[in-house]
Amino acid sequence: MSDPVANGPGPTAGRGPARSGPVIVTIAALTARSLLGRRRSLLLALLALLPVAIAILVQLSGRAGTGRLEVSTAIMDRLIVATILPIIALVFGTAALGAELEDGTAVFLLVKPIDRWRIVVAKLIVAVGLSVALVAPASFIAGAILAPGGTGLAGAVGAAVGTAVGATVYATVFFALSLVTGRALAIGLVYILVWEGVLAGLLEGIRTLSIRQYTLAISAAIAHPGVTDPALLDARTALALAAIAVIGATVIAIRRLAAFEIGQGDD
Amino acid sequence: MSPRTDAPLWGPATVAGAGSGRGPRELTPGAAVELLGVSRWYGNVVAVNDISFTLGTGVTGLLGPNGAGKSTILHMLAGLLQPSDGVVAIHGTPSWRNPAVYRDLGLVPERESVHSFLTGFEFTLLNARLQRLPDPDAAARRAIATVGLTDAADRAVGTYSKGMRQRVKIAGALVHDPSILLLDEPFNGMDPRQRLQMMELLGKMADEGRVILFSSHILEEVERLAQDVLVIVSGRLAASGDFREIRRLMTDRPHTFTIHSSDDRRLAASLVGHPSVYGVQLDGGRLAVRTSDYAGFARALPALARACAVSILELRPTDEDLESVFGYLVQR
Repeated sequence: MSDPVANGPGPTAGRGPARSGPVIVTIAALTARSLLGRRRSLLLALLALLPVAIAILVQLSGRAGTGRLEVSTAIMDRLIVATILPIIALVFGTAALGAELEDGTAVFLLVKPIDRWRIVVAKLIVAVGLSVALVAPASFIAGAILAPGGTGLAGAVGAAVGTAVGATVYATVFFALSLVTGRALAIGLVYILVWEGVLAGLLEGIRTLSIRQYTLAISAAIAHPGVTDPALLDARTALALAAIAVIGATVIAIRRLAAFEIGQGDD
Repeated sequence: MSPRTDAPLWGPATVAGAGSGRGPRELTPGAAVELLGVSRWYGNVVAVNDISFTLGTGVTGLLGPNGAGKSTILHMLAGLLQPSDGVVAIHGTPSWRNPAVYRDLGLVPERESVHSFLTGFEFTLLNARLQRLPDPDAAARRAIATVGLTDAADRAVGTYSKGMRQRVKIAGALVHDPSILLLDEPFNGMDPRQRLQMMELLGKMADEGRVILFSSHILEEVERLAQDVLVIVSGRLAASGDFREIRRLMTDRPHTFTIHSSDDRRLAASLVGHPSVYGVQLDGGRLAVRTSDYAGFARALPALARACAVSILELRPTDEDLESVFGYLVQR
């Protein structure tokens, strides 16, 4: 295109054909830079390394038997699946777009001739990708060290796959939440602590609405193939519910962004 | 703006055939920017109330006190707010839920809205890529040069001064060479030199045939830059048209002065008889005088005071703030 000013307005002169790929890549690269360039991503990385460090300490202390199983459950389920995984997904999920809509840095993206779904997809890929990249390797290493229930490598793979699915669902749900409310971080924390942390463990009926339960069911199915644990969801059901949650949250996010209205401001 | 000759310059917003909420409403063919019977409310609060106007090439100032609804209008134009009623159109197409309008529209928001870790060039290049320009690199460099940021292009936006941040936002908004540019309070926080540069830049872009709409709550900014003006007060279009005409009406409006003198009562008696004065009030040791002829009153007052041997201790205009100026325009 020629000089944007000297030649006067020429809105569409010389514009290339619509290519969605590069635009999504451009938005995703900016989002990744924005999310990784902050101090909090370092803190999250340390958080993800915490269970690995504890697992190493447990290994060095040489505990074995039933005590070992309890420690393994404490680290893999309560520390990783119930706490670290949802918190990392919450931070990335809400920061990728919701926080930028709040602080105004997303406005320049919105006033571009780009379908809003492309913005959602690009940002979602980054939020999910970073959450998975932090959580899944950490749970694989911790799982390999602890070998929960004497499952060896299968346990570690199960932990990695399960937490990868869990991180995907959590990040997508929190991403959508951040487009529905400006208080996504607080509401997400309450959800993690109250719903997933307390209620889903007490009330069997809401297991199907618990991302933690999806994670545990998928991990267990890979770690112990063929074994049915009545306390857990069926793995196929868990996978189907996880897919429904991801698709549903993505659709909500796209619809919300398409009808996004800027804050009332102080004009 | 293209002031419609068939519509009165003053009074509530009117569009040919639109009236105030009744009658057929049709978009004006060929208008680059148009609001037609547009209202916007938040719950029970009406932010913008039945506003209609069209804009043509040149600089138009959107003038009004804080909270008048200027940003609401700009955000509706930019498709970032849905009108509660009426139509907001860019080249005849509604801007709400229609990203295609951004091919020919640039928005410079008021808020600090650039990631501080990006350099000025990176930000402008991002805008060029997101516009899918064939040569985003060259377009970004030209836009940076247009706003005079070439020397600082490789510095992070976080290190920029307020004026530079404003300019990098403009570079991002004009990188795709739009014919419509919307700017929300572009002069806020700028020093006089930066203001001057910005005015020259906007004037130059308007001369090239662009439609430029900028909001401001400062009369002098609008006066220096805009050929046409839209005065917004309390969500209504209080006045629109040529700036000089509006300026004249603002100067000729009734003025109120508060006078403190050695003998208010005697001075009041003397002032009542003067043709430039149409109201005198003695209120708790204060003398308030209303005049419709600012210049005549200013000339007459010293002579009248001397004639009745009263010393004037204090003379103060009481309604010179912008709100009362706007308030007067609304009442007309």
